[in-house]
Amino acid sequence: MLSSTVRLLMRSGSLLRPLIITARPLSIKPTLINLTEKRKTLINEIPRRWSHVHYTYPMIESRVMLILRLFDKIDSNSLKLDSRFVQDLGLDSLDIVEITAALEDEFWTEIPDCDSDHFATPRHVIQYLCDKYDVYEHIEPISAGKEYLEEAKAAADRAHH
Amino acid sequence: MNQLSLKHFIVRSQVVALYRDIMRTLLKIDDQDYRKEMREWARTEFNRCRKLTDLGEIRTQVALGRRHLNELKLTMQMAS
Repeated sequence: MLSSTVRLLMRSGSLLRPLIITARPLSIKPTLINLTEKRKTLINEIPRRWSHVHYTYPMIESRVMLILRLFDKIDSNSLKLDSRFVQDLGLDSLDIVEITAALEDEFWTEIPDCDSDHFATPRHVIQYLCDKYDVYEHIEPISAGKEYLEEAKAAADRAHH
Repeated sequence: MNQLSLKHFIVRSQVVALYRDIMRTLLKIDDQDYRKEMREWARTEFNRCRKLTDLGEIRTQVALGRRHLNELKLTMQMAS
Protein backbone atom coordinates (compact mmCIF):
# COMPACT_ATOMS: atom_id res chain seq x y z
CA MET A 1 0.00 0.00 0.00
CA LEU A 2 2.84 2.33 0.81
CA SER A 3 4.53 1.64 -2.52
CA SER A 4 1.28 2.28 -4.40
CA THR A 5 0.83 5.68 -2.69
CA VAL A 6 4.44 6.53 -3.47
CA ARG A 7 3.87 5.57 -7.10
CA LEU A 8 0.69 7.66 -7.20
CA LEU A 9 2.56 10.69 -5.82
CA MET A 10 5.37 10.29 -8.33
CA ARG A 11 2.94 10.00 -11.21
CA SER A 12 0.97 13.07 -10.07
CA GLY A 13 4.25 14.97 -9.69
CA SER A 14 5.05 14.35 -13.35
CA LEU A 15 1.50 15.40 -14.26
CA LEU A 16 1.87 18.67 -12.36
CA ARG A 17 5.00 19.74 -14.20
CA PRO A 18 3.32 20.83 -17.44
CA LEU A 19 0.67 22.69 -15.41
CA ILE A 20 3.20 24.96 -13.73
CA ILE A 21 3.10 28.21 -15.65
CA THR A 22 6.52 29.66 -16.24
CA ALA A 23 8.54 31.68 -18.67
CA ARG A 24 10.23 29.81 -21.52
CA PRO A 25 12.33 26.87 -20.34
CA LEU A 26 15.87 27.15 -21.50
CA SER A 27 16.62 23.71 -22.86
CA ILE A 28 15.38 20.18 -23.22
CA LYS A 29 18.23 17.86 -24.09
CA PRO A 30 18.29 14.07 -24.33
CA THR A 31 20.87 12.65 -21.97
CA LEU A 32 22.21 9.18 -21.56
CA ILE A 33 23.44 8.37 -18.09
CA ASN A 34 24.56 5.29 -16.28
CA LEU A 35 26.27 3.56 -19.15
CA THR A 36 26.79 0.21 -17.48
CA GLU A 37 25.59 -2.67 -19.57
CA LYS A 38 23.06 -3.74 -17.01
CA ARG A 39 21.11 -0.54 -16.56
CA LYS A 40 21.22 2.01 -19.34
CA THR A 41 18.75 4.74 -18.62
CA LEU A 42 17.74 7.36 -21.15
CA ILE A 43 16.27 10.50 -19.72
CA ASN A 44 14.42 12.52 -22.28
CA GLU A 45 14.62 15.79 -20.44
CA ILE A 46 17.21 17.13 -18.11
CA PRO A 47 15.45 18.97 -15.31
CA ARG A 48 14.25 22.23 -16.78
CA ARG A 49 15.69 25.34 -15.29
CA TRP A 50 12.76 27.48 -14.18
CA SER A 51 14.75 30.71 -14.24
CA HIS A 52 13.39 33.15 -16.77
CA VAL A 53 15.25 34.62 -19.69
CA HIS A 54 17.96 37.09 -18.80
CA TYR A 55 16.55 40.51 -19.54
CA THR A 56 18.91 43.26 -20.66
CA TYR A 57 18.19 46.85 -21.60
CA PRO A 58 18.99 46.49 -25.37
CA MET A 59 16.78 43.44 -25.61
CA ILE A 60 13.82 45.17 -23.93
CA GLU A 61 14.30 48.31 -26.01
CA SER A 62 14.48 46.47 -29.33
CA ARG A 63 11.43 44.36 -28.52
CA VAL A 64 9.34 47.35 -27.47
CA MET A 65 10.32 49.37 -30.56
CA LEU A 66 9.56 46.37 -32.76
CA ILE A 67 6.09 46.00 -31.27
CA LEU A 68 5.46 49.72 -31.75
CA ARG A 69 6.65 49.60 -35.36
CA LEU A 70 4.42 46.63 -36.11
CA PHE A 71 1.40 48.62 -34.90
CA ASP A 72 -0.35 49.81 -38.00
CA LYS A 73 -1.40 53.23 -36.72
CA ILE A 74 2.18 54.27 -35.97
CA ASP A 75 4.41 55.74 -38.67
CA SER A 76 7.74 53.88 -38.36
CA ASN A 77 9.78 56.79 -39.67
CA SER A 78 8.59 59.24 -37.05
CA LEU A 79 8.92 56.83 -34.13
CA LYS A 80 11.62 57.82 -31.70
CA LEU A 81 12.30 56.98 -28.07
CA ASP A 82 10.82 60.27 -26.94
CA SER A 83 7.95 60.69 -29.38
CA ARG A 84 4.79 61.09 -27.36
CA PHE A 85 1.91 58.76 -28.17
CA VAL A 86 -0.95 61.23 -27.95
CA GLN A 87 0.58 64.51 -29.12
CA ASP A 88 3.24 63.48 -31.66
CA LEU A 89 2.03 60.14 -33.00
CA GLY A 90 -1.66 61.02 -32.89
CA LEU A 91 -2.81 57.98 -30.94
CA ASP A 92 -5.94 57.54 -28.88
CA SER A 93 -6.45 56.13 -25.40
CA LEU A 94 -7.95 53.03 -27.04
CA ASP A 95 -4.80 52.69 -29.17
CA ILE A 96 -2.67 52.81 -26.05
CA VAL A 97 -4.84 49.99 -24.65
CA GLU A 98 -4.10 47.99 -27.80
CA ILE A 99 -0.38 48.63 -27.50
CA THR A 100 -0.48 47.60 -23.84
CA ALA A 101 -2.25 44.35 -24.75
CA ALA A 102 0.40 43.61 -27.40
CA LEU A 103 3.17 44.32 -24.88
CA GLU A 104 1.54 42.03 -22.33
CA ASP A 105 1.46 39.30 -24.95
CA GLU A 106 5.10 39.84 -25.89
CA PHE A 107 6.56 40.00 -22.39
CA TRP A 108 4.30 37.31 -20.88
CA THR A 109 3.23 39.60 -18.11
CA GLU A 110 0.24 41.60 -16.92
CA ILE A 111 0.14 45.37 -17.10
CA PRO A 112 -2.78 46.81 -15.12
CA ASP A 113 -4.82 49.80 -16.30
CA CYS A 114 -3.48 52.08 -13.60
CA ASP A 115 0.04 51.60 -14.99
CA SER A 116 -0.78 51.85 -18.67
CA ASP A 117 -2.46 55.21 -18.03
CA HIS A 118 0.97 56.69 -17.37
CA PHE A 119 2.52 55.56 -20.67
CA ALA A 120 3.28 58.76 -22.58
CA THR A 121 6.42 57.92 -24.59
CA PRO A 122 8.20 54.67 -25.55
CA ARG A 123 10.84 55.62 -23.03
CA HIS A 124 8.27 55.41 -20.24
CA VAL A 125 7.21 51.96 -21.43
CA ILE A 126 10.82 50.72 -21.54
CA GLN A 127 11.52 52.17 -18.11
CA TYR A 128 8.41 50.48 -16.71
CA LEU A 129 9.47 47.12 -18.09
CA CYS A 130 13.01 47.60 -16.83
CA ASP A 131 11.63 48.26 -13.38
CA LYS A 132 9.45 45.19 -13.64
CA TYR A 133 12.37 42.95 -14.54
CA ASP A 134 15.00 44.66 -12.38
CA VAL A 135 17.16 45.86 -15.27
CA TYR A 136 19.27 48.86 -14.35
CA GLU A 137 22.38 48.65 -16.49
CA HIS A 138 21.35 51.73 -18.49
CA ILE A 139 21.14 53.92 -15.39
CA GLU A 140 24.19 55.92 -14.50
CA PRO A 141 25.42 54.80 -11.09
CA ILE A 142 25.29 57.50 -8.50
CA SER A 143 28.87 57.95 -7.43
CA ALA A 144 28.04 57.14 -3.86
CA GLY A 145 29.64 59.70 -1.67
CA LYS A 146 32.56 60.87 -3.80
CA GLU A 147 32.80 64.00 -1.69
CA TYR A 148 32.40 61.90 1.43
CA LEU A 149 35.31 59.69 0.36
CA GLU A 150 37.51 62.69 -0.24
CA GLU A 151 36.60 64.16 3.13
CA ALA A 152 37.17 60.81 4.83
CA LYS A 153 40.59 60.55 3.20
CA ALA A 154 41.43 64.11 4.26
CA ALA A 155 40.30 63.37 7.84
CA ALA A 156 42.36 60.17 7.91
CA ASP A 157 45.41 62.07 6.66
CA ARG A 158 44.92 64.71 9.32
CA ALA A 159 44.56 62.01 12.00
CA HIS A 160 47.77 60.26 11.00
CA HIS A 161 49.94 63.33 10.63
CA MET B 1 -21.80 69.22 -12.69
CA ASN B 2 -19.24 67.31 -10.67
CA GLN B 3 -21.53 64.31 -10.25
CA LEU B 4 -22.12 64.12 -13.98
CA SER B 5 -18.40 63.98 -14.76
CA LEU B 6 -17.83 61.32 -12.08
CA LYS B 7 -20.37 59.02 -13.73
CA HIS B 8 -18.77 59.78 -17.08
CA PHE B 9 -15.41 58.86 -15.62
CA ILE B 10 -16.72 55.51 -14.33
CA VAL B 11 -18.41 54.69 -17.64
CA ARG B 12 -15.27 55.67 -19.51
CA SER B 13 -13.21 53.25 -17.42
CA GLN B 14 -15.78 50.54 -18.18
CA VAL B 15 -15.41 51.20 -21.89
CA VAL B 16 -11.62 51.04 -21.65
CA ALA B 17 -11.82 47.78 -19.67
CA LEU B 18 -14.11 46.27 -22.31
CA TYR B 19 -11.73 47.30 -25.10
CA ARG B 20 -8.81 45.82 -23.17
CA ASP B 21 -10.60 42.49 -22.69
CA ILE B 22 -11.47 42.42 -26.39
CA MET B 23 -7.86 43.07 -27.41
CA ARG B 24 -6.50 40.45 -25.02
CA THR B 25 -8.96 37.88 -26.34
CA LEU B 26 -8.17 38.74 -29.95
CA LEU B 27 -4.46 38.17 -29.36
CA LYS B 28 -5.24 34.52 -28.63
CA ILE B 29 -6.58 33.94 -32.11
CA ASP B 30 -4.00 32.08 -34.16
CA ASP B 31 -5.24 32.94 -37.63
CA GLN B 32 -3.69 36.30 -38.48
CA ASP B 33 -6.25 37.28 -41.10
CA TYR B 34 -9.17 36.50 -38.86
CA ARG B 35 -7.51 38.40 -36.03
CA LYS B 36 -7.00 41.45 -38.23
CA GLU B 37 -10.58 41.31 -39.41
CA MET B 38 -11.97 41.07 -35.88
CA ARG B 39 -9.72 43.90 -34.72
CA GLU B 40 -10.94 46.15 -37.54
CA TRP B 41 -14.52 45.24 -36.69
CA ALA B 42 -13.98 46.10 -33.01
CA ARG B 43 -12.32 49.39 -33.93
CA THR B 44 -15.14 50.45 -36.25
CA GLU B 45 -17.75 49.55 -33.64
CA PHE B 46 -16.02 51.63 -30.98
CA ASN B 47 -15.38 54.52 -33.35
CA ARG B 48 -18.99 54.54 -34.45
CA CYS B 49 -20.15 55.12 -30.85
CA ARG B 50 -17.38 57.57 -30.06
CA LYS B 51 -19.56 60.68 -30.11
CA LEU B 52 -22.26 59.34 -27.79
CA THR B 53 -22.85 61.45 -24.71
CA ASP B 54 -25.94 59.89 -23.15
CA LEU B 55 -24.85 57.63 -20.29
CA GLY B 56 -27.72 55.16 -20.79
CA GLU B 57 -26.81 54.68 -24.44
CA ILE B 58 -23.15 54.20 -23.61
CA ARG B 59 -23.99 51.61 -20.97
CA THR B 60 -26.22 49.76 -23.43
CA GLN B 61 -23.40 49.67 -25.96
CA VAL B 62 -20.97 48.40 -23.32
CA ALA B 63 -23.38 45.59 -22.38
CA LEU B 64 -23.78 44.73 -26.07
CA GLY B 65 -20.01 44.63 -26.44
CA ARG B 66 -19.71 42.31 -23.44
CA ARG B 67 -22.23 39.94 -24.98
CA HIS B 68 -20.28 39.95 -28.26
CA LEU B 69 -17.08 39.24 -26.34
CA ASN B 70 -18.64 36.28 -24.52
CA GLU B 71 -19.87 34.87 -27.84
CA LEU B 72 -16.37 35.28 -29.27
CA LYS B 73 -14.82 33.47 -26.33
CA LEU B 74 -17.29 30.60 -26.71
CA THR B 75 -16.51 30.37 -30.42
CA MET B 76 -12.80 30.27 -29.71
CA GLN B 77 -13.25 27.56 -27.08
CA MET B 78 -15.25 25.44 -29.46
CA ALA B 79 -12.76 25.97 -32.26
CA SER B 80 -9.66 24.99 -30.26
